[in-house]
Order: sequence, then C-alpha cells, then structure tokens
Amino acid sequence: MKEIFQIVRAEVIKQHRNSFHSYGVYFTLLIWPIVVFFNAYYSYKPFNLSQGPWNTFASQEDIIMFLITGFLGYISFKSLLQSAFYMGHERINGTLETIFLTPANRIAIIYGRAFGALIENIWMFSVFCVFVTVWIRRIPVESLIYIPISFIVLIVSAAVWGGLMNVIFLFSRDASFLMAVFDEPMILFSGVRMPTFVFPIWAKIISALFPLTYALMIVRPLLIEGSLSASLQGIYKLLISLLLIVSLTLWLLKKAEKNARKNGNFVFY
Amino acid sequence: MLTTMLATAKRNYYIAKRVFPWSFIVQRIVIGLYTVLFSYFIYHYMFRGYLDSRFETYTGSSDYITYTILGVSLYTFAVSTLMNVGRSLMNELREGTLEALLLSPCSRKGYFLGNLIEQVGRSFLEFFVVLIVGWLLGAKLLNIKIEQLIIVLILSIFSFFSMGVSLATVMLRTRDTYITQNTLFIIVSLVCGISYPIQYLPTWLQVISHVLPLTHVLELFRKVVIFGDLLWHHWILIIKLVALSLMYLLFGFWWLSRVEKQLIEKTFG
Amino acid sequence: MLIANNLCKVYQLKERKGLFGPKTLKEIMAVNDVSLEIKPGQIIGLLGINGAGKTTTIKMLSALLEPTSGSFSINGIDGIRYPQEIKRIVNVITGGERNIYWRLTARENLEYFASLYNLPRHKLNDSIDELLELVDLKEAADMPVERYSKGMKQRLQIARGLVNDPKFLFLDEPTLGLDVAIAKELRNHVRHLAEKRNKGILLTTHYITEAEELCDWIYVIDKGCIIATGTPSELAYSTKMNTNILVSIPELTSGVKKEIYEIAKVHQAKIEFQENTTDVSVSISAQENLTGQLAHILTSNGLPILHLKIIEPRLEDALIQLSYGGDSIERNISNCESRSYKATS
Repeated sequence: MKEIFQIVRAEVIKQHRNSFHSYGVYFTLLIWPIVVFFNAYYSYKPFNLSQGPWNTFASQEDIIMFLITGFLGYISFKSLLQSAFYMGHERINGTLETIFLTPANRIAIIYGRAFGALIENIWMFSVFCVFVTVWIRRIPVESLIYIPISFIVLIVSAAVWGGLMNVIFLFSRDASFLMAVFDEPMILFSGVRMPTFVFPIWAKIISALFPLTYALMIVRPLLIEGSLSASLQGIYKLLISLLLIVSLTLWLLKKAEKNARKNGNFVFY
Repeated sequence: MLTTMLATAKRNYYIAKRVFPWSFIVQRIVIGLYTVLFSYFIYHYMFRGYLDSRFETYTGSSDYITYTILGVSLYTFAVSTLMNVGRSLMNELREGTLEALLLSPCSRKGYFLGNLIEQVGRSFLEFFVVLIVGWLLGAKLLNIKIEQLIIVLILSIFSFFSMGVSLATVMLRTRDTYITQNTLFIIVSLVCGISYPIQYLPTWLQVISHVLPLTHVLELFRKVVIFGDLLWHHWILIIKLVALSLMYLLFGFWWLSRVEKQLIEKTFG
Repeated sequence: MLIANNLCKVYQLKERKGLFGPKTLKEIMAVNDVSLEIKPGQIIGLLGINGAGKTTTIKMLSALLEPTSGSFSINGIDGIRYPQEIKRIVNVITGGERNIYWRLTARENLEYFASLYNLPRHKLNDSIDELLELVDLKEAADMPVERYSKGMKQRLQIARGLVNDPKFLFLDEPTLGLDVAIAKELRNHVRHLAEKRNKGILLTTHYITEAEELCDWIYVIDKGCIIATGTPSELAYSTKMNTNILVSIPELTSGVKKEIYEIAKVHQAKIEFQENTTDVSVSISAQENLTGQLAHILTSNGLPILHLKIIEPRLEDALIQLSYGGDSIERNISNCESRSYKATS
C-alpha cells in the first residue's frame, strides 16, 4: 500500500512538473471552459422556460447552476481524457518503456496519472464555479457541507474513468479518433448541458455508459437543491458503474501488458 | 502568382492523397453533428418546440431547427477552411520547409490561394455531411435557389480565406496552432450566432460579432435558404461583408510581410 | 550471475493487403537460440549490425519482453516466472536523448524514476546526490533537461540507469551519436561501473573500438543467431584474418629469399618483395603471426632489420567478415545448427 502511495505521489509530481508550465493551460483549462459554458447558457435563450412539459428551470439562475455543475463534472472527466491522450507522447519519447522497465505497480501508475492530471486540471475552473455560485447566491448555507462531498464524488469517479482512458490510450495507435468517440458524446449524453431524463429511451441507454451521468445525478441535487435524499438514488448506480469500469480497466491492463511482453509494444491492432 | 498557386495546390494534393487528413475531418464532422444533435434534443425533447417569443422577432422565423442547422453547417465549413489555410505556414515551419519558401520570391497570394483551392473539396464535404444530417433531422432546405446559394458560398469562401490569411500570420507569430485556432473557434461559436441569434448576447459581445465576417455570411446564408430571398435585396450586407473581409485580407498580408522579416532575421542572423 | 539459455523470440506481424484485404500473419525470428553468461564485474559485448537482434535480446533479459522459448536467470531468479523481481535488479541505458523527461530537471527525473523503484524516501535524496556526482551533473541538477547538451543528457541516462543500483546493467548502443571525447568519457564510466562497483554489464554497440577497449568477452550476433564468441583478440584471430608483416632490410640474397619462400609454403602465406633504391621491403601475410620465424631467418643471415611493422587482424574486419559473408568461416545461419563458432586459439 505504501508502495502504491509512493508511485501515485511520484506520478502526480511528475505530471505537475512536466506539463503544467506554460500559459497554454490557462486557455485550455480556464478560458475555453468558461466561454463554452456561456455558449451553453445562451443556447437556452431561444426557449420559453415557463412552457414545455418539464418545468426544470424556473429561472436563469437555475440554468446557470445546472450548467455550472455539469461543466465542472465534464471538465473533470475531459481533462483526464486529455492527459491520457498525452500517453502517446510518452510512448514516442521512450519514457513509457522506461516506466515499464521498472517493477512499479502498473495499477498505481495508471491511477496515479489520473489523479495527477485531475487535481491539476480542475482547480481553476472550480474557483470559477464557486465564484459564479456565490455571485448568484444560490448555495444555501446549510448545504455548504455538500460542496466537499460533491468534489469527492467527482474526483473519485473521474479518476476511475481516467484510469480506463489511460489503459485504452496505452495501446491505441491513433488516439485522436478516440477523443472524438468519447469527448463530444459525453457532453450530450451525460447530461452536461441538458437533463438526461428528457431523453428518449435509446439516448438514455447511451447515457448509462458514461459514469459522468451518475456523478451528475448525485452532485446536482446536492449542490442545487441541498437535498441528500434526492441524490441517494444516483449513488448505487454510480458505484455499480465505477465497479464495472475498474474491472474493465484491470482486465485491459492485464491484456495490454501481456501483449506488450509478447510483441514488444502496447499496440493492439 | 498563378504558377505558385498551381504548384502549391498540386503539392498539397499529393500530400493529401498519400496521407489523407482523416482525423481532423472526422473531428470537425463529429463536433458539427453533435452540435446539431444537441439542438434537436433541446428543441424536441426538452422544450417540445416552445420557443421564446423574441426568437421570432430576432430571426423573422420560428423554424429553430433550420436556423441552427444552417448555422452549424456553415460554421463547420468556416472552421475547416480556416484550419486548412491558417495552419499552412505553421505546417511548413514544422516540416522545416518554411525557410525555403521564404527565400523564394514566390507570390504569397498564390501560395495561400493554392492552399485554399486544394482543400475546397474537403471543406465542402464536411459542410454537406452536416447539412444533410440536419436535413434528415428536419431542416427545411428544399426551396433553395441554387444560383443564389452558389454566390453565398463563394462569398463565404472569400471571407474565410481572408480571415485564414490573418490567422496564418497570428499562428506564425505565436508559433502555435492549437491554442490559437481553438480560442478563435470557441469565441466564434459564442458570438457569431451559430445556434442562437446574437441579439441575446450582451451589447459588448455583439460588437465582436460584427467584426467577425462569419456573422454576416451566416445572415446572408439564412436569408437565402430560409426565406428564399434574392441577394441583391441585401446589397448593404454584402458590401459590409466584402469590406470586412478585405480588411482582414490586406491586414493579413501586410502583417505577414513584417513577421516574415523578423523570422528571417532570427533564422539567418 | 546472469545465465541465458537458448533464448528465442518470434514476432508475429499482422499484415494487411490494401485497406480491407485479408490479414496475413508473418513470423519474424528476431532472436534465435541465444545463450550467454555474464558474471558480476564483467563487461560482455553483444556485437552485430543493425537488426541483428541485439535490442530484442536486451529487452528479453530486462523482462520487458517474454521469450518465445528458452530461459534465463539472474542471481538464481527465474526471469520468465518472476519478471517483476528481475526488474528490481537490472536496468537498461539506451543511447540517444529519449527516455527522460525533457521538461523536468535531472534531479526531478531521478526522483521520479527512483520512486517507481520504491526507494525509501529518506534514502532517495542521498542516493540521487551521489548519482549526480557520479555522472558529474551536480551543478546542472536543477536545470530542465531540454537545456542540456547531448553528452549531459547521456550522462543523465546513465544516472537513471543506476537509480535502482542494479546488479546487471544493459547498455544499448550508449555512445550512439556522441562525439569522440564524450564517448570516451562514457566508456570510462562504464569501466568504472564494472571494476569498482562490480556490476555485470552487457554492452551492445556497433563501434568496434568500443568493444575492443571495454569488453572481456564478446558475442557476435547476426540475424538473431550468435555466430561467434570469444575475447576481442581471439575473435579477431579466429576469423582467419591474416596478420601482415612488413620488414625492410638493406639487401636480399637468393638464399634468404628461398628460406622465406619455404616458411611461406608451410604456412600458406602470401609474400611480396619490393626492391627500393636504398632497401628491400618484404611483406608477408598469413593467418599465423610469422614475425618470429622471419626475424630468425634474417638475423641468422646477418641481415639487420631496418624497419618492422606488424599489422594484426582487427575485430572490425572480423565483424565485417562475419556479418557480411566471408566464406572462410563456417556459418550456417539458416538453421543455426552450428550456432556458435567457438574461438579456440
């Protein structure tokens, strides 16, 4: 356990030193998400909030709270996709092989990478979110306790997702296709910009594949309504989803490593 | 100029034939399609077609789906052209061929035109894929006057090309493609009225909308497709668009000559 | 002690004809029946041209790759059964500038890799300082690697390779692309590691001088097979390359000439005489070194030797001959049955 902790720690520090150094990150992790968030906000403008069947949003503030929580979740998940994408660079630079030369626990490396990227990548946008929520005075004082809980839910589920992404990118040659496959669908189907309960059944099935869907099911009632009971139904779904993802990750990792030992690279197909 | 243009187009054609730029094309199409899908979802599933009354006031129509699909498809076309023209010089720099280009007395206009011509087919492909999917989702496109549409498309190619020249210079100046292009595209999608009329935006953002040619091209495009208008009814808009594009074009070439000089001093000094 | 027995590695390549054509499996025998031994403190050379199977061998010995067949053990640990244990006691240093993080400093790089080897934290800083000192990077330790020169990057690679204090170290073309002075410095490091720190070292290189200078024992590998082994000088002689002797003497009598012809006949040597204005030069080329016999003939006939030059066979020539044909040596690569030509001189 101590060994795993040390490796996770080393990965976190390395990622911080290796990639968090240029002005570029302020664009990708702060400015872009904020602009995209406003874009999503204005996308609601053409519609009449008081009519329609759902009555989800009573006011503009409701939309802002809904979107800001959605985007915080999305940024957490997306940033891990991006960091997994950089795995390709490690392969080209030869450092991936150097890592695999060591006896370090593979699982620790995979999740270490995920955690490392996560904390690094979401703090700026989190500050923005807190700022917005305070500004529109939406979080009731009694639900302040739910803020750390929500962060934990997001971080844990995003890290589990990130572990899977890391393994997938570990053995894929052209990862940019995977970016397209995972990134855009996640925004739509996980309910980042629109609640998933309005979806037709086929879209709900796709939603079920993304753990972000469940993470948002928990985080939104907590932060918007301050209601613990409403979030409970999401919890067991999230747990099952995370459990499945972890098992898939471990299975793929084993397969990837076996393949690497056999063929000398991590490329599968 | 003509020789340079043809030579550049021919070279790019050979390169594209060997290594077809799939990943960029797929990415742009996927982003376009998901934006279209989001509009469809929010219109049909979330709000069941209940629009805000101002939408019709601002756009003169209550056809939200056609409105956004035209926006998204032309946006995809713009992004594709801007990327292909804008990244050209940086690609030369990365491949180490920029020096050879700068040393030659070849016409810069010819060079950019060559880049433009070679990629027009691919950009149209992306445009039509999004448009056709949009049509399947219910956009009304069948009463288009073909000759009017062709003129609008020529005008849009001209304006995207002009912006592309300026963009190429910015990229060469900042030595960056990723941050520059995505920042531009994210801002464009916020302020150019892609999926909502710009009148919903705060006034200061609308100022930015007006200096971006895409806003005006999009207005013309919608007038022609949704209302079947004749272009000469909107000659003021056309003059505005052409003047704005010319400004980008002239500014781009003027700035490029300065950046080139600096670059040559750095490389050979 | 590292012992490898009959290691083989077959790669399976999937090839597709056209975009949707049928997949065909192609097998490539990268390493074929390689056996070798490394003792602590020894520098063993693995020589061969590009694509001979050197890197694949190293990858198998460092447990990155699983051999298709064969076995190896390091200090009694079965390398195929316990790859993680093997990784603790070996390390690989590759030539070139890859395999380290350029945006990190030397110290940060070493901290990271040391952590992956689970070095206790209190020991970590001391041993990193020691390593930086060893490779002479102490002053540049806190500078990002991207600002390093090639030689500095290479030295950092060495430090990285030593971060787990490995018992066996595999050097994969470590001097590739380095200039002469830096390469020499690096060779000194390598020798130091073997002699002073008692590390078993396997060195692959295609710079022959490097192998000649450093290695105690050499394996020559070609197309995956070990085709010759021996000490550097044994190998050079064993390939039946000739030793050339050049002598100049003031004059040449027919008696002397006859005697020289006689020994030439016995040893199947090639002889050339060349009469110059002031002297006569004699050149003899034979597999054996005939210097002694020649000197004996000359001195017993009272002829002073004005000039004597002996050109002994070099490993480089031997390797070229081994790798690119040369019928004088028995080699059978296609089935590797006579897989190792043991030098016995």
